[in-house]
Amino acid sequence: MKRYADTEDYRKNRLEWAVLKKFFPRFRPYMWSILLCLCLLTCSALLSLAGPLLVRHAIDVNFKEHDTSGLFRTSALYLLVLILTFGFSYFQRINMEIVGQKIIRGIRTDIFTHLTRMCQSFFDTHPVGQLLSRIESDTEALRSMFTNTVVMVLSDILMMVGMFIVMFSISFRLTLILFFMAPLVICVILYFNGKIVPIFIEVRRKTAEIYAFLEEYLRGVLIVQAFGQEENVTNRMNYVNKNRVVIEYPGHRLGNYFGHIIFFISTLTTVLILGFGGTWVMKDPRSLTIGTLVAFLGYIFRFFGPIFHLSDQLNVIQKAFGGARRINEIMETPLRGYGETQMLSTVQEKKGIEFKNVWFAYKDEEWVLKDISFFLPPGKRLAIVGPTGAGKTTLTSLLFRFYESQKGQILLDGVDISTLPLEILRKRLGLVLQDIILFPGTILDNLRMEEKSISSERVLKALDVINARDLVDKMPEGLNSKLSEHGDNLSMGEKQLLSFARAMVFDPEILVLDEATSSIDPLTERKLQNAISAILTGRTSIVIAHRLQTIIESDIILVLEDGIVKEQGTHNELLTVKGIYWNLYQIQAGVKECSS
Amino acid sequence: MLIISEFRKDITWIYQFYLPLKRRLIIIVLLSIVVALLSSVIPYTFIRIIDGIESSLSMRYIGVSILILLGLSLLNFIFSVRNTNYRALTNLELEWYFRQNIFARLIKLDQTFYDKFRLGDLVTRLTDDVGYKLSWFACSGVFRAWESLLKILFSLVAMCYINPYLSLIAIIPLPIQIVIFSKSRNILDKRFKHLQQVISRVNETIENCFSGIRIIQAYCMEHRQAEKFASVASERVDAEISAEKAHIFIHSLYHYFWQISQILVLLTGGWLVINGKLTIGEFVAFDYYIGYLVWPMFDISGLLVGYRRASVSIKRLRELDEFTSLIQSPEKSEKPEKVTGHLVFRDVTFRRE
Repeated sequence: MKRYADTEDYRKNRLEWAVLKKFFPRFRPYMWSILLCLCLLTCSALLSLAGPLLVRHAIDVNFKEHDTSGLFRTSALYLLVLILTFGFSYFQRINMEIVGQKIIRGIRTDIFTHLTRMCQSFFDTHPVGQLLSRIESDTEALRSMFTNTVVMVLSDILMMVGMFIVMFSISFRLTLILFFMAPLVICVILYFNGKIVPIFIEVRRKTAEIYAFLEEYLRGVLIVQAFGQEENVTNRMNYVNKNRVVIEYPGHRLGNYFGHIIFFISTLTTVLILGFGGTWVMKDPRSLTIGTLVAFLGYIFRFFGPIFHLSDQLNVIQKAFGGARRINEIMETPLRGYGETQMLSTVQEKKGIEFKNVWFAYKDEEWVLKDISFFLPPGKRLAIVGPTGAGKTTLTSLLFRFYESQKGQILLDGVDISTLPLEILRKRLGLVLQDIILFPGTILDNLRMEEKSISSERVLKALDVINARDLVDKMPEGLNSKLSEHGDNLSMGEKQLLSFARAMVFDPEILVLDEATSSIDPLTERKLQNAISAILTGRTSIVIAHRLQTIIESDIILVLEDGIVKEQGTHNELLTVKGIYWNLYQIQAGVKECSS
Repeated sequence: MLIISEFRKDITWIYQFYLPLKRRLIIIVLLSIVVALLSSVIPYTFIRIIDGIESSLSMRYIGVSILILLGLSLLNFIFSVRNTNYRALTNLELEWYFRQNIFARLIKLDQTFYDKFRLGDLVTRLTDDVGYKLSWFACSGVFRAWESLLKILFSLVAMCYINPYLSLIAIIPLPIQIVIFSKSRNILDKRFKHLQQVISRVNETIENCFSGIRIIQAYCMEHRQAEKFASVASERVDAEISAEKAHIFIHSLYHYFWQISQILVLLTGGWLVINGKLTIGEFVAFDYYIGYLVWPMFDISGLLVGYRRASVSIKRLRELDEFTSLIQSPEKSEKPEKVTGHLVFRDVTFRRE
């Protein structure tokens, strides 16, 4: 069987300071607060050691000398120590929480911002549930380490060092007994830690699976219900859910054994201290007093607590390191196209779009587009037709640089788009998809994509252009009416109208319609055609469509099949060739005749 | 009255999940009694040992007392580890049942439900709410507190047996602690509820953004999403700090207030020792009892704070559980002998809510 130390998990979760070092600059603005916290922590940790010493003083001095006023003074001092410990500890915890929360907010926002700029291939392989887990769980693990574990470990170390100093100074012999137990404690920690850590790594994986499952199936609940698959999905959920229990329970069981064994060792130490200490007290009460023995019992009680915490926190530390590594991986993924500094002349000659021998594969050598070449002059309309899976959407995705082609060049007005900053490129493009994406919020925010600098007048004008003003007017609060998640309170046609309106608000130079009218009925489509004509006139555009009637007027029609341009020309030219396009047209015309 | 009725509803809701685990829960309840009893007897052995040392009694007498201490600790180890394992397993199984039960219901609810609840919020309820906050509370929170309550009770009995007067003095902080908690309940409630709502909003923002990332990137609106996220993230920081401030204050106050007992025991117990009314062994046992009771007291405060947190989560889950679907299947339906595919819509009208 493979040793845990040889596994990929071990590599991913081992404690490397280099992983955390990258976060250190984030602490710099809070250095003073952190220093203050450390001072408060030191004070409260050291003060908490005073209790057993005060009890020792009371037993050995006040009790023996029958000194009631001395006892009162000792008690008053104890109260003062308690109040100070409370004050120091409270302010330290609050301060640390504030610092930790602020640092984590920065990390969260940076990951989120970075993720929004990742290329589409990243989103193809990372479901939303997983991203949610990255931004939430991984940062939460870091926060927990910064605000709880670091503080607890530091406080425990300070206390243990302080305790050793105090114990050595009051009885060297009794401290040696404690030292005698140390190897046993270390063996127990090492044994259990090696067993527990891999289990909890697996648990985190299972938790991410639950997140992803919930996200995927609740999103697709309509499809699940439409196909009557509720029972099957519930059973699968049960499997994923139960699986975590099966994996997690042994981890908890080991953790419990660990805690109880440590506690039992502390009892053994107490027994040894009482046995040996008792004998020494009875033999020579001057070399070891009963007060010292009682103080030692108090320290044992305090000594094993930190050990228990320390190993308990190892799991939190490991979790945080794993989270930090994953955060670093995301933050270190280069963002293609962002921040590139290719200078462009402000007034560029319009030369249109040109694909030159473009090849693209999502994976290895599985080519989705093969040697694609075409030229679309400015202000002209290109239509792409072809069967599902021919590579139509992929082709337009390359224009937006959602993906990068492996071979060939895409030129926009003569400039290779791979040299353009993404913002400059995409500001010239507009996209309307078949899958309509609307966000929760108002219609206004959806149409201007949260860009507050766009006025509502401009949005209303865009709605006028596509004859969709009445859609907004009939809503109770007009542009400020709220949309449900994914615009579920609108019909498909209404959603698509908003999608067109959004494109018009941004008034792009080049517009891509990716089967934009496929999911709406022919009547609504006919209504939309006027809007589409208004949008497309004089604008460079690429239209992907299955219904050939909608693209007849295009200047160039590209017929794609298996990622290859099979035919290219105008509607009439392609009909004369009597090839794939002619065939498709005949089939659709036939269907039309049949249905009429 | 409202509080009691809400509490009753919460308990009734949780109780349905306890039923399949009834046998194990009974074992936990019984084991807790044994563990609490053993734990409360252990400090009592200190009296024999310390007084034996103080009076220089025979080593055999002290040795026997030490062996009794060791034997009791071993028994406590065996029963306690078993009880903790049962609780851990029950926590996990409850989390599984909570999530499974609610998911099985959600997957059958109609679109009006999904219009009302957003995906990010639902995922938060089924993960964050169901997880540690509720499942841990429902078993470990409740049954650890039960064990702690018994430990406090048995220890108080032992303490009264040693010295009833000193016991009375030692428990003076207890009513003050109860007052502190009852006064702070509403603050905790409000802050935890607000925090859960903000966490849901953060999750919604993430979920919505990455579900529509293609369109966001196409329109170069990544920066707007980042601003939106930064705003909800800041809201979350404020909510977290506000909830933690209240939590830390109440928790610390609760913890340190109990330590005042230790000072009262030192002062009063010391006075009794000086006046020959208490032995040093009894004083040490008392001191040990008070020190030992800090953790059970912590568990009780944990239960009270945990209940406020869990109560918010229970309400959020009950909300899902109590949602009535507009579309109901008839209780009794006649299954057609043969499906012919003959479909008729008669005078159907529909409008969205």
